[in-house]
Amino acid sequence: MTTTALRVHDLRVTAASPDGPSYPVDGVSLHVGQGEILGIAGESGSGKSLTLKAILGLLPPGLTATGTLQLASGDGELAPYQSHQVRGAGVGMVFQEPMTALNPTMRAGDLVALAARLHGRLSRRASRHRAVELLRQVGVPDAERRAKAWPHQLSGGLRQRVMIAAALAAQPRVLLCDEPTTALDVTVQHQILRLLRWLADEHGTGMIFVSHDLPVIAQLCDRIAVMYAGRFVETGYTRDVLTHPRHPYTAALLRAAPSVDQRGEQLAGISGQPPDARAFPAGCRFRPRCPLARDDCAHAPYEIQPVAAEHGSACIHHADLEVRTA
Amino acid sequence: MTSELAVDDLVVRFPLRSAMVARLLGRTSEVLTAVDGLSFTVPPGESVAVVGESGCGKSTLARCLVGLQAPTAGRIRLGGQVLPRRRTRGDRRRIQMVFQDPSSSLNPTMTVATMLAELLHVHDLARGDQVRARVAELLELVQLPGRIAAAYPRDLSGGQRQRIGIARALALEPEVLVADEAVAALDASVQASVLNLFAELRARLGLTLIFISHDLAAVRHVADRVMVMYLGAVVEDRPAESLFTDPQHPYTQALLDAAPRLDRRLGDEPSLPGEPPSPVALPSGCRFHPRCIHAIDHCRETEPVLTGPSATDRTACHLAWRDTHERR
Ligand SMILES: Nc1ncnc2c1ncn2[C@@H]1O[C@H](COP(=O)(O)OP(=O)(O)OP(=O)(O)O)[C@@H](O)[C@H]1O
Ligand SMILES: Nc1ncnc2c1ncn2[C@@H]1O[C@H](COP(=O)(O)OP(=O)(O)OP(=O)(O)O)[C@@H](O)[C@H]1O
Ligand SMILES: [Mg+2]
Ligand SMILES: [Mg+2]
Repeated sequence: MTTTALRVHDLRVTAASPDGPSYPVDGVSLHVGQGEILGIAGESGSGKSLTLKAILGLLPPGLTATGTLQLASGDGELAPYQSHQVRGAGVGMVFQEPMTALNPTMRAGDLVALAARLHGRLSRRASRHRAVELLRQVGVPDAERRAKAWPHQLSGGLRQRVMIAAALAAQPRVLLCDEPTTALDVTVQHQILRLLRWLADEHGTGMIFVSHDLPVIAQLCDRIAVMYAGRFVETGYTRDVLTHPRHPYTAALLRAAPSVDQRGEQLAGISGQPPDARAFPAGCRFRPRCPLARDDCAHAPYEIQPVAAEHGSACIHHADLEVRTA
Repeated sequence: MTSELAVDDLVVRFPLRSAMVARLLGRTSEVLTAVDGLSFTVPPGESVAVVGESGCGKSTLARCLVGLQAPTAGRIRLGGQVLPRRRTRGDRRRIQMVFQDPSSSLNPTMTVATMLAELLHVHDLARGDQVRARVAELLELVQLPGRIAAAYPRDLSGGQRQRIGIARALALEPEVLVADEAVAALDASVQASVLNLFAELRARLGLTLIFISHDLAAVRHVADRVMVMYLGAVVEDRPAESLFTDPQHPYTQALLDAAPRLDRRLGDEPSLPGEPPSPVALPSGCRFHPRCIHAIDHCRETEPVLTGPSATDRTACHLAWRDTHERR
């Protein structure tokens, strides 16, 4: 049994607007054990980034969060936390768009050094040294020279690595990563994935790893949660979910992804309109686009129910799906 | 009808320190070579993928193509006509780009609808009542719900912003679309519709596509031809199927080996040894030799030429096009 590092219960994000409130994150519950990596995949716009930002108390103005957030303290006891007190060493974050997240007036090395200094009470010199070491660790070539570059002088992938280095500098107990490797070529990506796995295995860092790249999640993550329209629709061990999906949305995602080992025909997208947080359909929110939809789906609870050991699905007809894919 | 795109001896260098400051400090002025002599032509309607390590110059090439980055040397031609450094509105419309970092390229003070409408207006592509209809149509093309029209970029998710970037580029009905990591932030299903949309535009309008991506699965699906870059230069330029089934350059081989696959565990695959060299001090001979497991003395001394059976089937490796056992 691993000890839980982070627990989130019934998280809801409310967006106020003149036409009334909407709920882009609408009842998300999750837990991450020490040394465990939870992958989150899912629809673009389903609320993945807002979930991570809410955990760290970094929601943009106009959005508010409710729900229970708990973090393990030094002795492993779960307790509610004040987000501003845990940012950095408690919970670190790698943001989705590095250019907007990096301070344009700070050189790459200083940015990482600042994070190292705040955390480790290092001297200026020692922290600068540490920054170069961290940049090297995340695969920045010529790290010494790159440390002096401004963000606008760096390529997309270099910026992304600077962000990862800055997050690691504080040695967080829980690390939230939002699409951290999209701008990296596969060999550097592989190096970063190995580094993250090593941090989890050797330092017990718990992680949430948001990505659209299912093969990457398959390689890195212990468990996966698939999100659609503000909620998780399927959760379980990565291998179980990706080889035996029990929700039609997960199955559709797997069908839509191209393969590097063969050139396919036309890719299979999902037909129909994407959901709008201001007017989610009643019952199952995937129903209007679901190939298996039946009348009773309009009254389905749209909540994760256990379907097998450690495997949950929000589809009331998940048993049909099993027949179909078999 | 669209036209042939040609790039001749393109070079982009960034001085890291101004020459004057360097002299004052008594140091040499350092120069970073981002693009190091690229030449290629793309026939109308072809889809060319550009892949390669992070920082090898892909976005810099893209910015040159659309006229946002002045090359240090070389030129770009479209339909035989040299594109000037200062592009006219008409030239700009012919080559459009989807940017890698969508938020830094979207105006934060405008709603999506205003931004698209203004663009259509400036280029005189729609008037009056048509504008609204065209904006709605563009959003539908990239699978965004209609209410997004009234939103500001900051109210959107990463993938939604990326799709606004795609809609904006397509609004101008360009002949050449340069897509820089244009589908990286999209879930597989939306990615599938965008890639299908690109294919349809190519078939219907003869759109030429320059597809920059780290996602080799997407590349295999989209590209007729693939160019692999390493440290500012093209090291392999081949028809897509030949490249994926019979890569000739060891760097290409390393990329294909490292591509994540659903049934792979982390750590199974060999990773490339060493770290990429600094673009400030390029290695002698073959630029890949310090990391190449096949390198021989010749590779350390002489730079290989990009050559092969044809102008679109070439590799820059002394040991390419030989039997594998000979390469060992
Ligand atoms: N500041 C905001 N105000 C209002 N709505 C917002 C705001 N930020 C995001 N949203 C909306 O909330 C929903 C969820 O956004 P979020 O960024 O969490 O999506 P995501 O799952 O991370 O998507 P992606 O994969 O595209 O990054 C989206 O529909 C988005 O339009
Ligand atoms: N304005 C600039 N000043 C100095 N160096 C720059 C500038 N712009 C880019 N560079 C450098 O030029 C090189 C090529 O950058 P480019 O953005 O073209 O890479 P890329 O291939 O797109 O990489 P990625 O896959 O990470 O996006 C990098 O080393 C980058 O740091
Ligand atoms: Mg996001
Ligand atoms: Mg780039």
